[in-house]
Amino acid sequence: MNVVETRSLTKVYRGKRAVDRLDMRVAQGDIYGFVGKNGAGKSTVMKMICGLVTPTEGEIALFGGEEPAGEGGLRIGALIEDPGLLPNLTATENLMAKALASGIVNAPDRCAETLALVGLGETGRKKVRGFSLGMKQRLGLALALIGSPDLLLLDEPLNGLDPEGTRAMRNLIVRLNQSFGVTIIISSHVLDQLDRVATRFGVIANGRMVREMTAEEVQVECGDSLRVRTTDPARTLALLEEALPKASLRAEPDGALSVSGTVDQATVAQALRASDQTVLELTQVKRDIEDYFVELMEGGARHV
Amino acid sequence: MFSLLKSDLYRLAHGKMLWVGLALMALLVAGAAGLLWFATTPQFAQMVADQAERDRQDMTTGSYQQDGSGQLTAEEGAEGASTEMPEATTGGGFRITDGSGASLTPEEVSSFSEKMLPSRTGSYAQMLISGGLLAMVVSLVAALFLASDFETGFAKNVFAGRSRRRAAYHVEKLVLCGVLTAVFLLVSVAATEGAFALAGFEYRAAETLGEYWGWMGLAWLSVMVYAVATGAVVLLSRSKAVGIVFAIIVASGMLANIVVMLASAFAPAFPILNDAVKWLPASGVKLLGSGGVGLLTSTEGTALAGLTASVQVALVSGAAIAVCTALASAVGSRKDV
Repeated sequence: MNVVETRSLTKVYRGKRAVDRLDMRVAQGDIYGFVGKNGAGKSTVMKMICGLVTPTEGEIALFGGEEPAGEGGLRIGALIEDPGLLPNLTATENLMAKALASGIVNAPDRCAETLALVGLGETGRKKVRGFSLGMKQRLGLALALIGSPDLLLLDEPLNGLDPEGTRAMRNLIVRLNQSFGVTIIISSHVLDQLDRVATRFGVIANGRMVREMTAEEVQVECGDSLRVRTTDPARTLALLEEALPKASLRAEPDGALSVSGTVDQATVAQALRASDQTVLELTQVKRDIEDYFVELMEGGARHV
Repeated sequence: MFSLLKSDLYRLAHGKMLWVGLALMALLVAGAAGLLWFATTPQFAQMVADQAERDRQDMTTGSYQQDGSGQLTAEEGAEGASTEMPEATTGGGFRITDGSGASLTPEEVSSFSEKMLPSRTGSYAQMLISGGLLAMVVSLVAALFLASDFETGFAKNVFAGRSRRRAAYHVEKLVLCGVLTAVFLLVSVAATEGAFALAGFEYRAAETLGEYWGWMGLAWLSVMVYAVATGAVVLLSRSKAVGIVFAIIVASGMLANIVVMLASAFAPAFPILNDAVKWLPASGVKLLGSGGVGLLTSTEGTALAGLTASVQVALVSGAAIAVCTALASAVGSRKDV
């Protein structure tokens, strides 16, 4: 079942398309890494999914089209942009305010459990205004979790966290997914951190979904690849497509071809020699995941 | 909606805003009662008499200078003293006169020292309602509290995953304004009672329970209009500054005074304006000014012949609250968070 499925989702602000006919599919149990530059439309998409923003066009189907059930059926938790904390109250009071507003039964016990889960069980009477950025992020996560959601939307939850805080947040996200079965959509600029937790990725650029792929697909495409440059790139492309049907081929801006997938250097050299191609370059390249996503976000990659 | 209200009441009870607001209100009431008490003391009467004597002497000096001769005629001196200024009496006291020439005897002066108030609700009206004090304080607290939802981003937490709750959220906030008004009214009334009791004041007229609680209900409605209107403005603008400015200008009665003044100016050309201003919420506040005695049957000052003051106050306030609620829930719930 797809927990989230959007079809031609569009949001227009003052004539500008912030989100443009976006199709997105998040399956149950996914940790969906939502990647895009600043202003690409990630937050707007997340806000539309959790009902904070009304789409201009398009559809959003949640939980396979099931309707949320009553006051207690809070199935979506969200931490979008900032945690939305009340600075003059304590962590417990912040959680209680949200729990009461959500009609959660046995709110005091539930608040204590959730605070313990995010590691804020010992904050006592300390007001939130005195919290560190990491503590505020964790409390924001607690607010999102208080209704025991099935879907969690986290927008840049690692922003401003120190390495220890980042690791704690990452572990918590994995634990929520694996132990509690929560489906998580997470956006982050810290791509190497996202790469460690995400099971699927979606790349958004200028409001449009550039590509959705599994973590395995990303690993394959980011793995070792071959850079091939010949005197006739178009013919080389056609030849390699035919000779290496399982390989992924990508044309580089300088006319070279990037060959990735389960293919070795000798096979490519043999195919080129057999067709009498003049090889100018044939080298093995190790790609960085950050470069890979940046390339996708900038729309520079042309898939063939 | 009930769960949202519970959450807001929890936040108010655990935060500082409500308690600071109530303490401020109690202080203002105590200060006003203290001033009223001081006006009934012999020291104040002596101050008034001394000031009157100084004014008389200044006037006499002024007459000398105007005359140019340095001589004050018997007629001029007598006239000045009897029509405008205090004069020495045979008993060595003063006859205090006002600008209209009416003179106040020492007995009349002493009557000012009586610690008597017209009625309970009359004193509440003068202290809390007529000057717009209660409406302004409640509206300011409502503006600050409602705006904090958007300033802190807490509203996002409430709405996330529950887009259909937006209308309920907006209606609940205005219900909260009503609850806040009731709390502030009751606390202010208690503070007024306490302050006057401590200062030794008594009430001249006793009210029936119906008159008392009838007035209290109408006062609640009248003040709630301003709190709800301020709440609606904050929900639509999502701005604390706009809410505060609205509370100060509208809830204090400043805007109503300007409207009434303009209506009076244009009334000769458009006589309908004289009747139209009677339908303003501010006119309801004015009708409450004399207290609860006879309010339920009085038709004096109402916009329509035969319409009692209480019915007019209820009608105008109810309509204004309904309009604000409809506007906030219809327009506000369509806005993205």
